[in-house]
Amino acid sequence: MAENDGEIARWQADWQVESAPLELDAAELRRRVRRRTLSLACQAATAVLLTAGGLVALAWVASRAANRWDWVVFAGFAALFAGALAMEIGSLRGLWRPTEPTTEAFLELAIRRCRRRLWTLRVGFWVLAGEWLLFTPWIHLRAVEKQALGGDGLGTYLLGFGLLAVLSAAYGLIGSWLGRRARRELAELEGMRRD
Amino acid sequence: MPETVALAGAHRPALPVEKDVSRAELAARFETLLAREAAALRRVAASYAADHGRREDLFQDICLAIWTALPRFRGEASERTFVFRIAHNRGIAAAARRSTATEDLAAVEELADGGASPEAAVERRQRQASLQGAVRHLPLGLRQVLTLTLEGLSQREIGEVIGISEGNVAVRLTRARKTLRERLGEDRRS
Repeated sequence: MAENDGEIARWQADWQVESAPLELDAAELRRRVRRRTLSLACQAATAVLLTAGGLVALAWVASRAANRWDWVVFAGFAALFAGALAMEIGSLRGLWRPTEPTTEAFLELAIRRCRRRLWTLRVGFWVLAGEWLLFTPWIHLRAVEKQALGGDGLGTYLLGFGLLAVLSAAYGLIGSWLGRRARRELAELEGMRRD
Repeated sequence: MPETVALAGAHRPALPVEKDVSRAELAARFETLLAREAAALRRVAASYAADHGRREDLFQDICLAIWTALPRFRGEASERTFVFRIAHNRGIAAAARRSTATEDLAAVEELADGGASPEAAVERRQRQASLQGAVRHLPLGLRQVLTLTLEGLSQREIGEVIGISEGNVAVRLTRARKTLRERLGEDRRS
């Protein structure tokens, strides 16, 4: 044991080799605090704006609804929206703080958060699929209606499906990138837990 | 010999402050804590990041996390346990976010002028770099126990930081020492 104590002492001496006096940049620390606070505020504001914007848009379009199909689509969209929001809020349970103030608990929390990010992305794809199901017949009906009134039905198809396609492509690209990052992070964290 | 920490600038980041602790008291407490533990926190950062830039980023991240958590610290554990826990949590988060697993060449840290000859200083640096490199290759559970031991924490304190029993700490430490011995032996041969 004396030999082993000597080993630790030798390693400690090598480990704690004195470094030159350290400079901690308090201004940089202050900038980081501000950036992080701003980032969190922006995320919260974006969520609130998107929710409010979605509700306002829904109400505006619903107020101009001409027939029952419009109401069916809007009700369906509102249900999708409300469902996604409820699942999002519900999934936040247990993700605020580690269960104990230890590094093992922090590791578990980090893993849960990663899994939750991946789950949110998957749910997003299903919501997108739901929107296609909901809006495809509606766009078609609108186009036919417009055509019957002598208007540009093709334009309605292009605008409607074009918007859906752009939304899907954007979500697909961003979602894939975020998903790859989250999976890589999850693999690292699970590896650390196995260690 | 206590490490010297020069805090540039007179301002402190603005954070919500508990009623019974003034901002000035918190700032003073933070400065005292950092003056005592900054070198150790730098070494913890070195056990998670080889690259000098990433190590500095992680060190800043650790300091930021300590500053943010300090108002909520109620003395449930020792201050050492408190700061090391935060340091290792930030290290885990940084290691998980790392995009590649390749080990960059670590920048050699400047050493204090302790009056030693240049050759002795170079040799000390090389031994430290070799030890840090070997420690970084340890699995996380063993790495944490070993680095905390090298920082002088007791097995009880290490158990509090990580969230395992003292017995488990002893077992991990034995495995860590064996692995590190083998690793340092391999480094010397290569």
